[in-house]
Formats: sequence, C-alpha cells, structure tokens
Amino acid sequence: MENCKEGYAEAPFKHIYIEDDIDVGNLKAVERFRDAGIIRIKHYKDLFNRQRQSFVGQKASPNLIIARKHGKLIYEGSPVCQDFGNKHFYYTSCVMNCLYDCEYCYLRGMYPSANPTIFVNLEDIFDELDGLLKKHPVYLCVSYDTDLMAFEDLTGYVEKWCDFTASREDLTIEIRTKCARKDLWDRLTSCERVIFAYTISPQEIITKYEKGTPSLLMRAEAASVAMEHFPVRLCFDPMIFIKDWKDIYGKMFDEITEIIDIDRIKDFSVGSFRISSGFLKNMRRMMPDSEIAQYPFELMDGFYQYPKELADGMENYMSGLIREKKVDSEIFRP
Amino acid sequence: MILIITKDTEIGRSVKEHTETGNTGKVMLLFGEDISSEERFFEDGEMSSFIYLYHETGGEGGSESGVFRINRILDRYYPDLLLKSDLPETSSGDENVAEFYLKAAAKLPPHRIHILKVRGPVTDSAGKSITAYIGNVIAEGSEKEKRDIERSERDKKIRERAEKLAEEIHASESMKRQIEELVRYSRISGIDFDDMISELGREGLLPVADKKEGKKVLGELQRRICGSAV
Ligand code: SF4
Repeated sequence: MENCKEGYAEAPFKHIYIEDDIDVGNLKAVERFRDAGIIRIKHYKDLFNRQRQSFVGQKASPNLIIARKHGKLIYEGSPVCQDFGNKHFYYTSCVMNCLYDCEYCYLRGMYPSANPTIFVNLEDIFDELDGLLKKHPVYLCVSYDTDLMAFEDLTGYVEKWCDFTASREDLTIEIRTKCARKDLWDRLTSCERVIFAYTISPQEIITKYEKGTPSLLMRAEAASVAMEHFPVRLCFDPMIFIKDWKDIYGKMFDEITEIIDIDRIKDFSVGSFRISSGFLKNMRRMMPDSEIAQYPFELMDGFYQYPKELADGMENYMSGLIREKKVDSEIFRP
Repeated sequence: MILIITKDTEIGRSVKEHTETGNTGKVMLLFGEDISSEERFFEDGEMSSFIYLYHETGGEGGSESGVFRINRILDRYYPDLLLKSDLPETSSGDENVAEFYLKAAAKLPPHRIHILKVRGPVTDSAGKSITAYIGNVIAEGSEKEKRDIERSERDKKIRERAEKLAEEIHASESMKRQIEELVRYSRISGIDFDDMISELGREGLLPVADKKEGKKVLGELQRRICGSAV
C-alpha cells in the first residue's frame, strides 16, 4: 500500500467521508463519485489527523473528506511564498490536498493525510474576507494547499471565487494551477483581479515528478486561452534541479513561447525549489528513494534550499530567458 | 508478524483451518473465549499488521449475514481502508472492538489495522472470505517486508561507504552526516560516487593530511554532486 504497484491498493475514491451535519443532497463530489460508499463522521480531524497514516498509500488510494472548517479561515502568507509586491498578502484553504501527485509537493511534509478534503463553508471564508476588506485591500491566494482548478467539477469553487472577487473591488486573488482545462472560461465571471497562475515545468520534470498533471503543451495551450479572459501569471516555480537543467529549461521556454504570447503575460514568478525544514524531514522519512527529497540541500533560516550558487544560477538563467524576450512585465523572485 | 485475534472459537477454528498460521513466523493467531485485550499481545515489536475478527452477537442492526469490513468504530475511530477488498462494509458500535482498535493504533498505522465482523453463522464461505482477506494482508505485508529489507541493506552500504570516506578525510561528526547525504543522493540519482572519489584522487585532492584539507575536499565533492559546479 505504501507502494501501489503490487495491486493491493484499494480503488481511488471508493469512500467519501462526510461530516454528520452536512447535507449530502447538494454535493457535487457525491454526484461525481456515485459508486463511492459514504461514511458519516463527527469531525474531519478524527480522520485527517490519525497518527502514522501512509501519505504515499493514500495518494494511491485517495478517499474524499467533506467537512466544515472552523476557527481562522484566512492566514497571512508564509515567508517562502512570493507576495508579488502586495502588502496585504494572505492565503486560504477551502480544499486541502490535491488530485495531482507532485513528488516535491510540500503538502507531503505538511499534512498527516493525503486525502483530499473539501470544506463546504466557503461562505464563512467570504464573511471573514469581508471583515478584512473593511480594513484594507487584500491579495489572497486561494489555491495554495491544493489545485482548485483540478477540483472544479467536485466543488465549483473557482466559479464562486470569480463571482465573489468581481463583486469586491479591493480584492485580488491568485488561482495557481497546473490544470489544463479550457472549457471553463465561458462559465466564469471575467475579472481583472482574478489572476490565473500557471505553474510551468519542463516535460522531463512533469514526466518524472508531477504525476497526474497535464503535459507542458496542454498547460501552455490552456494558459494561452485563459489569457483571453483573465490576467495570466507564469510560474517557473519551483524550478527543480535535474541533470542538464539548463538545456531542459531552455528548451521548455522555447516551446511555450511558441504557444503563449509572452508579451501579454501579467507577470512571472521564478524560484528554485525550497521547503521548510520540518516538511523536508517528513518527506525524507516517507520517500527514502526520492531524488528530490534526498538532495543534499543547504539549510538557511529554517528552510532547505539548493546551494546558493546553484539556486542563483537556475533563477538567473530563467529570468534571463524571459528578459531576452524584452517583455515589460515584472519577474518576481523569492 | 501479523497478529490475528478473535474471541470467537468458531471463527478461530475456521481461520486456522484455512490459513497457514503455523511455523512461518509471519502470522500469529490467538483465539478462544479466554482471549482478553491484554497489552502483552501488542507488545511484540515485530507486529506489522493487526486483524481483529468478531462475531456479531446481535443488536447492531441489519440482518444480512456474511463477513463485513468495519469502516467506522463508535463514531470516532476509522481503520484506513487502503487494502483492496470486495467485502461489504459496515460500522461497529462495539466497545470491545474500539478497545482492540485503540491498542493496535498505539503501535500501528491505521491502514494496518483490519477489523472484520461475521454476522450470522460462520459458514464455510464466511471462513473463505476471511481467509482471502488475511491472504491479502499477508501478501501485501511480504512485499513491504521485502522492500524494508532491501532498503536497510542499501542504508547499511551507504553508511559504510560514508564512514570509509569520513575516515580518509578526518571528518567530524557533522561532516560525516554530510558525506552520508552525498552518498545517498548519488546512489538515488545514478551518480557514480566511487568514480568521483577516484577523480579527486587523480586530481591530487586526495588523500588529505588533516581535517582542514578534508573539509575542502568535501566542499568540492558537494559542488560536483549537487550540480553547483557548473
Ligand atoms: S499541483 Fe501543487 S498542490 Fe498539487 S500535488 Fe502538485 S505541487 Fe502539490
């Protein structure tokens, strides 16, 4: 089960755990996984926080949790996250965990469970946000601990976030994604303050480390369509060290600039892989054979990162490629 | 070792009849009325999975008979159902089951705790269903055991290789840890560590006279393995 290859792994989404007081009738996810067995639970933490769960096993046989989130719902951005020049930078998690399976994903080190968990009380997040908006403008990342676009058929949250943001003029949101859907745009309320941020990786990295995600070509095509409706950010972040990284990233940039009109990109994010020390320790324990997790990183201010020379080399190279195109848009770096 | 506990003599007999619990050392079956939930059953450090089998004594609703996999206990505890199974599922409100679950959960991850309930008579077919489930637990456990052995052998080799170099460059404890990381990463990423050491030798960087020179060599090795020497 830690390793799904043997054929002992249970089918994905065979179970949906739903908190007792949530009405099953309106849930898109239940409709989507009609054959799943529904297990009623008191509190999602009884399940999500069980000790010693197998993150890797749950990635192979994920079960869905549907719950209500309590307490604080909007958090200030972490120092490793880019604030894109925004003073009031926050993030929120209306979904925890992801349908994709990137080997470098910090969620592996952060959460005790890999089971995707959808919080149904999006309205409570909106209320808390309204409170913040009374004090100052807000820049909010809504797709940090997940890929919200990939969940759209299960939640409809991207649509709701677009509607909400369009109606709050001091709110700007970022929806980060690797999802290549091109069929949503007509359904979404267009808004200049909803930024779709596409994580772009070379195909070699996608094949090796970003299991279940769309190809480079598909992502580039999706970004290029998205641009017709929303501001688009391209994120070359995290850049992953791999043999011949320069050639590989260079080739990737050539490929995407064939498809995406780079002049129309709102801005760029460039950053080499970095991760908090606690998360990496967990990941190393859970993935003893992972080239990414077992890389001999340097520890700096509580974060593991590539040796400075390498990190600078990778980020400078990527930024250089963008600048060569003589685009005016800003390049943000950690 | 997979620990199977049942207080129900009938289920115990049926399992014994169908499952090889004898001298393999892999499965321990405890059964009979006198089986209590004593701690000692869970003290075995080798326990890799736990299976609790019980016979419904009535009062839990539903009348369909057969073998069921328990997916919820007392509205509070949830075995992680990661192992493939076609058994129908149900919840359990039995305090005894919760007690066993908790004892097992103190030692094992939730996907290695399996609770099966027999409702109705312990028929031959029920026995076979249980046995098939146990068979899967055993087979999955064997795969894991194989992987664990391979990993521990590899770890041993990594430590030995790191110690050898550490000695050669008069490394401190923290340098030794760094070397170990480098050896591990090299193995995973397909870098020939020994070849790299030979290269350092050919370039006259090895052997070294003291720790100070050793540190320089370690820095150079790091640059080459970590890709920052480009
Ligand atoms: S897409 Fe993002 S959130 Fe999802 S697994 Fe990959 S890195 Fe993690």
